[in-house]
Amino acid sequence: MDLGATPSGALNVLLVEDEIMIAMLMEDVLADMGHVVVGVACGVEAALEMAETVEADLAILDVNLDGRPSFPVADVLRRRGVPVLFATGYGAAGLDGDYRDAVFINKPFDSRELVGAISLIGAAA
Amino acid sequence: MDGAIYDHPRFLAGGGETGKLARAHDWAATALGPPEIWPQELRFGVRLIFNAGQPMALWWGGELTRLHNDAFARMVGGARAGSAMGRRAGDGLQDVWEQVGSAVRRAQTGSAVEGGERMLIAVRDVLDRVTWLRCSISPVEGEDGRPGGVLAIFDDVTRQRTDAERLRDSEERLLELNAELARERDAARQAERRQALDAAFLQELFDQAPSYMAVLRGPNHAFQLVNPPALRLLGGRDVVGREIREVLPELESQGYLKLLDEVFASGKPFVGQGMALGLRRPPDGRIEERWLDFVLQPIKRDDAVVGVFIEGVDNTERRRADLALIEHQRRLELLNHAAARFAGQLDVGGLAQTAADAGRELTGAEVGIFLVAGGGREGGPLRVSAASGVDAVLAAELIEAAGWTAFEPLFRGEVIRIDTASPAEARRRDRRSFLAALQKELPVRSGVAAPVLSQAGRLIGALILARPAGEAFADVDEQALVVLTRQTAVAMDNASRHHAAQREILVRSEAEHQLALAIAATDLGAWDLDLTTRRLSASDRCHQMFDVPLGVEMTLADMVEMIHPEDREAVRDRFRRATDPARRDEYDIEYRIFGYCDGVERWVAARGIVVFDEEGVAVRVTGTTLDITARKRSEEHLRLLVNELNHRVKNSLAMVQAVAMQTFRNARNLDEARAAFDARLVALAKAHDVLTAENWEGADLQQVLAVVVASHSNQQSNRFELEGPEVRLSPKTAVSLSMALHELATNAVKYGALSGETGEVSVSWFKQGRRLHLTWRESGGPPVTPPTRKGFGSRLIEKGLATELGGSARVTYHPQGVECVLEAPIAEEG
Repeated sequence: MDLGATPSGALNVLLVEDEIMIAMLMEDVLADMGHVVVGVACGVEAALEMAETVEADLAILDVNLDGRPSFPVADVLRRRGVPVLFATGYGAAGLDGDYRDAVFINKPFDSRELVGAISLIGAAA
Repeated sequence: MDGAIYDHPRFLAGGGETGKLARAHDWAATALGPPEIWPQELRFGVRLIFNAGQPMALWWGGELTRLHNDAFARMVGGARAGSAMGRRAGDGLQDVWEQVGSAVRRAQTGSAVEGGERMLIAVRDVLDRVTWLRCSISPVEGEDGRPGGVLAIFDDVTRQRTDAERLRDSEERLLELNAELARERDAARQAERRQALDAAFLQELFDQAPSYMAVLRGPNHAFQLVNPPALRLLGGRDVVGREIREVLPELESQGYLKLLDEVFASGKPFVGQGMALGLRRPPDGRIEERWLDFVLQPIKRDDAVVGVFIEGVDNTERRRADLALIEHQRRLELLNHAAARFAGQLDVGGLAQTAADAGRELTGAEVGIFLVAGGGREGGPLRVSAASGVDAVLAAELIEAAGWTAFEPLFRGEVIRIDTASPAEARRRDRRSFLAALQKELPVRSGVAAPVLSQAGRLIGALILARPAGEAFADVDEQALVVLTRQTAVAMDNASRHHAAQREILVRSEAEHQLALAIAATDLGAWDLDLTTRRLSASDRCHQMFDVPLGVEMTLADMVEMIHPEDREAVRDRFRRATDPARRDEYDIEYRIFGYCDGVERWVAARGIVVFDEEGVAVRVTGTTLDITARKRSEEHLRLLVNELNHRVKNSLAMVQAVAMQTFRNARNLDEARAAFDARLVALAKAHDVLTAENWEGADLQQVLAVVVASHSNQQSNRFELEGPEVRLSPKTAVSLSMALHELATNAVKYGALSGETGEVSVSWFKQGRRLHLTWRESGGPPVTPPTRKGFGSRLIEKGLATELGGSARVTYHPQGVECVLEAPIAEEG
């Protein structure tokens, strides 16, 4: 499955996803698109730690991390100027508070949707 | 119950200075007790006398405690009356009591004649001026139907009385004059005998006499002498020297000429009293009736009658005054009678009929129509409630035809009086067309309409009287009608309050009954909010629900304070809409509260019934409150469950997506990939089965391993060796570990220890502090060569599992067998 590189070039991506198999899938799809996954975090604590230090152009955050929202992680990333793309099984209803209008992709995801969302964030950044 | 309807100031309102005194009086110290407990009949009596312009007094109860009105106080001298207010009969105003006391007692004991007694009494004021009063005394029914008190209506007849006295005085003067005249006559006779009649003196006497005098001469009664009063009586006709038959022909048919002839013929005098005499009056020649007292005295000369001397007084004015007095008295009696009929009546229709009938009786009107205001304050339509002397349907058509503008003055509290025969009225006919409309169906000559105004000044109805012919309505008719409409207003106010009270009792008892049932059957708290005092009374269950200690009074403000700030506006809004008379929405709302003492958040459902008074003002709200916290919690729980389910389904699908992509992207051929995909999907499903059996709370490591062993040791005897303590895994770890172990086992079956006949797999683990150490070790299989590229399995273990568990995982391809060492922190037990 070759989706080709994005027009904006290779991005360093932080992946926060509690299901390791889904994380692996994302990793592969992002690699196919020409991006580099610079970190994978499964839980909120690990993700918070990583968000403070990682040098990334984009972070893809699962909204629900084993029952806990990932918004605190997004807060840190936002403070650090790292654009955030949410992944959620709840659709728009999964987002609330400050992130009500944030860009998101649905789970299970469509690779084309992921491409569109990334370019949307790239355009906004 | 009464207290809510009849506030002390409301029925004691008005009454001028006397009313003020009455309100200030310490009634609790009297036999009547405080006004709050006064019976309705007494309240009605008080309203009646306070509203009347006529002097009235009311004695009530066993001690005949006295009440009176402003007009009465003015009549007997304010200060004296003031000190008698609220005292027992005879205590103060003794002079009045001495005269009316026995009649009042007769009325009170029920031994009075039907319709009461009438008498004339005299009172003196501080300046010793005498006031003559015609007094009508009648019993007033009390609560038990027996006389509860006695009503006296006074009518100042001092003026009529002094007129009568003046008349009597002049009669006395006349008698003196007659005596003098007789003496003069004797003297004249003597003088005649001496041929010396002093005619000039007689003429002077004639001229100065206040009574009328005339001397008729001869058998044909020619006027010889006529004094000025007599000339005035005869309307200034030129009579001297002319015969009576010629100048007063109208007397012929009345028998007076015959009478004169008899006196002349017989020589005997005639004395007439209260004689009606019809005299033709210029210029229109109408016959006017006069009432005269007179003496016809034959004038004799030498025993022969030569003429007739007439002398007398004109009593017409006195007689008219007497008639007016009789009529006035009759009206008073009728009004009194109507008041008695009103007192017993609480039905608006009946009151309207009584008013219409009484209006006709009072004024002699042929038609009486009572209208009630059916609409709001601003002049809604009037409709016919009762008709007297005319068919009610016809009356309704007439009123409708007249149009509402015709009745506009009534809404301003004004009386309408119209005389269709007057030229001014003919011009106005277009504007005030109600009579014009009446005239289409009835030959109406004159009409009068008066408003019936409530205490608050609102138009509650109107009484219309009409006469098809005869005299136009006069001031006295209008006055009588106004008094009658005032009485009607008091009675109607009374009736509507009575009905409002009855309705409220009904609503309340029904609501209380239902509440009692509901409270018995459910967990409802009951409450009752009085909007006038803003006081809230609540049942014990309510107190419990809001955690307000029993005995602590809850106010509306407290209640609002307890409501969750986010819900307050919604509650206020709903309450406003429920109490808005224009909307009257249902009061039904669920909201959160914080307990008064414990501050604990609870959900409650409140419902209420709003009671409106007759003016459309919300006066109270009665309702129930139910604690629905448990229901709200289970609703919330359900919502979370559905969300969680949705999340799991989506997550599972994403997992399937991940497994599929991982399987197919690394596949060497499609069949192999399909088989691998099937096996992985089954492994995933089995891991879920384990979790489902544990209600998704976690799984035991042993269970997870048992599934993997069962899946990969179908035909052979068990070639797995498992050893380790009990370890609890989180649901996610259980799934991930299941998948990882599935990959290891599949690899062992394909290439490793389980691919031949003899190999074994040993899985051993132990806990060290909060860390788990697990080793998968294969042995006895074919020699192992490391794979040229890492597959899904090793990637899942070394990268994915390690990341997820926050530990380390390594797969080593020893030639004697594959080894996997896992080391990860584990959650604490429990």
